[in-house]
Amino acid sequence: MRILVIEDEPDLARHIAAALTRQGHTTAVRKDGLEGLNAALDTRPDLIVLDVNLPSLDGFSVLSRLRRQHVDSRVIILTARGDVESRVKGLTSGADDYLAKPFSMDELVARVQVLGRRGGTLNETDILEAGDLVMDVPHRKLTRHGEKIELSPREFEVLQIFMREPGRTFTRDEICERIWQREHQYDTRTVEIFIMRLRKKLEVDGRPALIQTVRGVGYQLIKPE
Amino acid sequence: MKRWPLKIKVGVYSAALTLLTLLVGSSALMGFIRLRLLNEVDSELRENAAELVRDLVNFRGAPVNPRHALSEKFVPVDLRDHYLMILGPEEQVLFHSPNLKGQDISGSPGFRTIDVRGQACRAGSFREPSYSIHVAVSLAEMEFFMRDVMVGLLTTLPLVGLMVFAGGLWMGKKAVSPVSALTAAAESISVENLTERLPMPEAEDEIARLTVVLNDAFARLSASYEAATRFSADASHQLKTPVAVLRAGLESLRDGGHLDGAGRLEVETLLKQVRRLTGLIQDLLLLARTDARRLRLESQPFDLSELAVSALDDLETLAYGRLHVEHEIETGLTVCADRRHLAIIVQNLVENAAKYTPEGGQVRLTVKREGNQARFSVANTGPALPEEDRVGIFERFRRGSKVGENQSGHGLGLNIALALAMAHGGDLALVRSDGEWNEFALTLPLVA
Repeated sequence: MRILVIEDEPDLARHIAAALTRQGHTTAVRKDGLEGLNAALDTRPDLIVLDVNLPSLDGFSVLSRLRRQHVDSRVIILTARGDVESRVKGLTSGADDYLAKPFSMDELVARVQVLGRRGGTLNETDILEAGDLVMDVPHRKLTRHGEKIELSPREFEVLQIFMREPGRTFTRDEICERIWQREHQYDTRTVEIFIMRLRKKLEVDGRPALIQTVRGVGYQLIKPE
Repeated sequence: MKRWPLKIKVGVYSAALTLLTLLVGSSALMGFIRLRLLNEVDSELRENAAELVRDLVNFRGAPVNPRHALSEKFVPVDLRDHYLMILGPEEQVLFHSPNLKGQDISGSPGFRTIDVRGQACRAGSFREPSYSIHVAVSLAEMEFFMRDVMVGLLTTLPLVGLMVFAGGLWMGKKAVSPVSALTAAAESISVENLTERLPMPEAEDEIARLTVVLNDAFARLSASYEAATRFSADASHQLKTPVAVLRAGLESLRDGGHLDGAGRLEVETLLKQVRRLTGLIQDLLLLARTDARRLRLESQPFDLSELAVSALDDLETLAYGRLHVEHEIETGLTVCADRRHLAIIVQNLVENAAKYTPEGGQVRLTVKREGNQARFSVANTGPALPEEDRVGIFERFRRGSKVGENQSGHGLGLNIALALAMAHGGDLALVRSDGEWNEFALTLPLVA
């Protein structure tokens, strides 16, 4: 994907660009609102990573002008304001996703992937599928061939993380962070316990475990063939 | 007296002042009346004497012989109750009224008050060429009159004092009423409505000046409070960008593939610290918002048991193989709250219970209805909290005095939890700490 990063903090912009380049994307960086707007109008990138606090023109204004010019690039907003107000403002002003600073680079990369793959917005009302497992997220239900598998709330959330991105490896820390969000004392052992419980529930005789350990890194859901 | 309310003081002061004035006035009045009455007595005595002299000079057509004693018949009837002495030219006694019983009341010409047989009397002495006349009359009647006047004055005094006191009380109340109104208005201003100001009175009086002064003070207070809360909000906010850079940098270092195992481990440790820093910043920001009453609640009704089941899930995992967990969760208790904020409270209680329960202990999670409130409590076995910690434990950056520095957490957890509970119209309290169980209970209003 061609990705435009509009972020005035040079080091952060550099790291974001580097991480996205490592994933095989083509990235360009602008450090100013107006410059960023012009670059977006000129190059029409597939996706824009947009900071809110920008010199000359703030992120929300950049976004609304882009939308007025019918630039339909996917937009992920980055902001230091983690409150509800700016999240709502971001999403209603036409952003596709929202990430509060400081964020995990893995998280950003993952969201970029999701937006690129779907060509649409992240959607909580998804029905997720992996192999013979079907996850009904809004009804918090997991079935295999129509047969319900009972999961505890946290087990469901852990599995959901895997099923949203099959094949991707998650570190224990990342899983922790996604589930409990705030600073917490849940250590990686807690995650191991959940993974263990999940494996037991999802186990089918004669088949390899669905959630596999990636030695020294974390876990991944094996991609169905 | 210093501690009396102002209106009482006004009443007492005005009553005392009035009484004093009345007393001084009454004494002056009494003196004046007495003087007037004596003058009257004196002129009567003078007339009596003059009449006698007239009689002496012309008694049945001829003057009386000034060398002979006078018979009692000579004394006019209206002078018989007076004391009388008539002396001749050689000072020989011509008449000495029997009621004097020999007492000498003669004196130099003029008036004086004397004592006649134990009675106050007014005496007048008059000298004619051939006679000198000394006449005295009892002042008893006048004294009675004076006493009556005094009694009259003295009995009205308390009545007047009482009336003035009541009037003073009323006036004091009237004078103080704007201050009372001001006090009530000032009392109603708290952290929640620091921007509100006292209504200005119409009159440009002392009360208006006081109002201005108070409003200025409130303005300064609210400005510094604003500044303080904005500072912590801004500071936390400003911290986020560098932390984001730090995190992004560390993550690309870790994922860049240039590090050996030990290096990677080191970077992981640093990342953990960055995450801890992030949590601290988030908590400070949250507190700054609750302090400034700017916490935005995305409240919606939901069943508290849903949250409890997740919490139980966490608790069982945290306690896995170490603690015994029991629970009693009543379903169908609907509260209207911001799920994320409630989750923070619950997470705090659960983490604390898991952290502070001694190995092999018990943790009990209970959700139940209590009147029109939902009660979410987490209890764990363990030693009782020291008395000084029971309130202090909810203070900012405070942890139990026995908790060592090696314990994780930054001491904001319960403070935030309490602030969030209160923002939801609920409460959080330590309800039991008896050496057996330590129990924290979150109460929230139920949706009707």
